[in-house]
Amino acid sequence: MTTSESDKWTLYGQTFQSRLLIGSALYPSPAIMREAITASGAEIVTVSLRRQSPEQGGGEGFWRQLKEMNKTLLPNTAGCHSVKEAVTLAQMSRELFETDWLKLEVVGDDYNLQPDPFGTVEAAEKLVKLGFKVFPYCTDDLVLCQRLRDVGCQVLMPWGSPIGTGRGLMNPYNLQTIRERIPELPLIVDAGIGKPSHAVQALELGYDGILLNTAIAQAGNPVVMAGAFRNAVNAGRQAALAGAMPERQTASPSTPTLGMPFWHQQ
Amino acid sequence: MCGDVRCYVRRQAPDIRLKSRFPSPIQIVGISNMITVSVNNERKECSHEQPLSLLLSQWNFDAEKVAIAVNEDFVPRSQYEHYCLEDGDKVDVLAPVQGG
Repeated sequence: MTTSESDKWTLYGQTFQSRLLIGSALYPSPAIMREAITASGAEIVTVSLRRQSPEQGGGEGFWRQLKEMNKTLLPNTAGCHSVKEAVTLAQMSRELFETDWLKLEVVGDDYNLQPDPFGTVEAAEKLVKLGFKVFPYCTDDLVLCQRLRDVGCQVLMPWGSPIGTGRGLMNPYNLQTIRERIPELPLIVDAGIGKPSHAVQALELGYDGILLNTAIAQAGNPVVMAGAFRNAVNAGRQAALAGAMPERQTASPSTPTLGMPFWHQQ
Repeated sequence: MCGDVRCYVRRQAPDIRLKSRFPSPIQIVGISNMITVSVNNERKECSHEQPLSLLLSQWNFDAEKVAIAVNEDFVPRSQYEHYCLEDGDKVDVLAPVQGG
């Protein structure tokens, strides 16, 4: 039986213990962000780039805090609506964050922030050729995931449900199918996770990790919730390694029927 | 320093009959290196001859802490010393922020 201490996983050649990737946005304060990230045990933190006026110090305060935490950074292209925007923002991120890791997001629909599958594949292909290590945020479509794999993505991140909804895994069947058909790549459920039970479910399905932000940052107590997610991810992973019992259509008693009292031959 | 000096001209209104030395309806009103660009969606006037490295400093940005795109194309930091903006350019100056 693999223990959680020795159960490491690898993303683009880097080995990690924690299977929880965490966002750095939406916390009540920078101090709570730091505490929550620490409590979550996450080793990978997502960040972004935005316009800032010089008066805001170029985001220096936030950036300094995060650097002090010594986490692996995963810059995103959140908000990009075209391949060109995503590729340009990726190049800017690589320079500023000094990493070729990239969480690729190409928005296809503003209503539910659904990723554009066509733009995501096109951007991923360009970025892989430019030397990026692409973590594509995508819908839970098997063929889309296969295309992303084929253009060189070595990690896939299908959504559980739309960003910030907290609705959990909308389509476990789709997610399970992706897991079964793409056994060779690390899979991360990204977006839509709202509760620790959703995290458990994702890991039980055989997913290698989860990426979330709002579920912790907007919780009543983000630091306590971060700990809950840490435990949930471990529980889900242990369950996946252990192997769940097969489901049955009919009841089956767990207590032995042999020797049942109060029963007599008529 | 960057590129050529730009000659700015203004078309005369047809009903104005100035004692111009210029017979054409185009009147030269000045020679200028000044251009107008958009920096993070804010209009700024600057010299066409000054490289991006100097302009960033004038605009109070620390070049080491931002990343630049001009007209949605990435401009690497290594090019700032020699990169000159054109009139109408749209400059994005980005810095790290929280992200999900």
